[in-house]
Amino acid sequence: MRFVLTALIWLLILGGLSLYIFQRDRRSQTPIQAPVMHEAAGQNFILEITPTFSPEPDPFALQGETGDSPSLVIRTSQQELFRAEADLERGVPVQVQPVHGLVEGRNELYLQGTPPLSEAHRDHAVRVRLLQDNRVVADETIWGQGGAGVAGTISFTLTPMAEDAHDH
Amino acid sequence: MLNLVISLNFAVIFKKFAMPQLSSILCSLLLLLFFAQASHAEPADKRMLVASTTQIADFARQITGDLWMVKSILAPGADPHTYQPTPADVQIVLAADLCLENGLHLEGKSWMATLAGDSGKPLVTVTRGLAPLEIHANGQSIADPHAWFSPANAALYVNNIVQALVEFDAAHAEEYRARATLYLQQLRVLDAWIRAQVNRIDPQRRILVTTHDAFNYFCREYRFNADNDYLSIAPVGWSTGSEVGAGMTPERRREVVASIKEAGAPAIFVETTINPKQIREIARETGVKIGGELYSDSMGPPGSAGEAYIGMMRENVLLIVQALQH
Repeated sequence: MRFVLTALIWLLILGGLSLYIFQRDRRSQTPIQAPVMHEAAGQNFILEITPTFSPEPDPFALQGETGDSPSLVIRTSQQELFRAEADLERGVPVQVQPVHGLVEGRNELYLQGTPPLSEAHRDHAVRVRLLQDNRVVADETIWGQGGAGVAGTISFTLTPMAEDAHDH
Repeated sequence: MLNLVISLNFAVIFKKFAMPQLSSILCSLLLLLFFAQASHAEPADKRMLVASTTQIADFARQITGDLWMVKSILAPGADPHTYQPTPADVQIVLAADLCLENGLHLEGKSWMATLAGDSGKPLVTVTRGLAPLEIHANGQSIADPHAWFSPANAALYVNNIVQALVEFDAAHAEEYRARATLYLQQLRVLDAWIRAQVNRIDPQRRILVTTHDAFNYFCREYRFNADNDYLSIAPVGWSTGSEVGAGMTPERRREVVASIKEAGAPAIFVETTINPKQIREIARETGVKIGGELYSDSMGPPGSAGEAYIGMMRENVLLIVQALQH
């Protein structure tokens, strides 16, 4: 009789614990509504890139599916905006137009550039300017200290009307 | 955790309502069962990757994280050129899902390819796509297998391992790539750090003499041994085995002694995987000091500074700079 009672109590405890775990996990499955993003018109934007070095193919890059190793890449979280294998000159601005993938509200560009290995002991930089209807929306210089390459993010906010805010 | 809660509750309740002696025995058995389960908690679906060398195993661990169990056939300090697999190695490879080798005849008599082939396991050569340095010996041209001594080549190893893992396990491709991206950045910084350190050695004193020809890529990358076409100077050839160009010959020994005297080498170095007797004899003969013991064909044991690739390269460079700088 005592053993039966013991087993019953054990089953109650086990059952209660299982019910609690089930309820806890069920509550956490409620989906979160993602914010709706409106894409800004790409043709209104110009992306201007000016490196202090002539990028070279990066032996330390992760090889992509195409097997290439870009020396300078700029992208958003969703897509790549600019890629250079070579043919960039130090100090010479390059313009990219149109610029797709930007949205109304907060945006962030990620930049990664590879100075030549022979110049790894020097500090290098890449200046990035984003213009909308010929007005500067973002203007930032990303620096890289010797050996680490040049990598960083540029944050800015786009509003639907003409007045844009630039935040760091 | 749930097991423990259930076990303890059952034991407490049983002790209260049943015989105390029996409940104590039962309580002990239940706790024993719980801890036995906990100690063998490896997930049933964890794959196993077996690498031939400690360096390749380290690269693989940096990429796989906890998703795979990674093992190296060679223990720290073992010589890949002369290694002979054991029955225990056969058992390890039989349990593997994927095998990695260096290739370029680093594994003497292709012992890793034999192990994988006999076990029917997929084998990836991590030096695929590498442009090897050529060593000329006895009229033959031999590809130097010690490519990992250049961090840029180590990056190629990492890329090949990533590609193999992605092909094998596409579900975790993003994870492998993310870890590899971080590790490749570390290799880039390592390369820049080495250049900065080596720069502290006057180019006239940048003479690296080691026990065997394992440092050609290092010398070429960081500009050691200008008078030897930026290749290593060593009495023992590229391999400690019996291949062409391997081992030490009297002629080769004479050439090394002459090089040391002519160039005025500040120091010479022994290696962790090779008997230091020959190099110590040369040091006595030339009056040159022993600069220290370098990691060459193998990394250090667990807990040592050279237990991982970056640590191995860092410690080697610090030793070399310290010995040659003054």
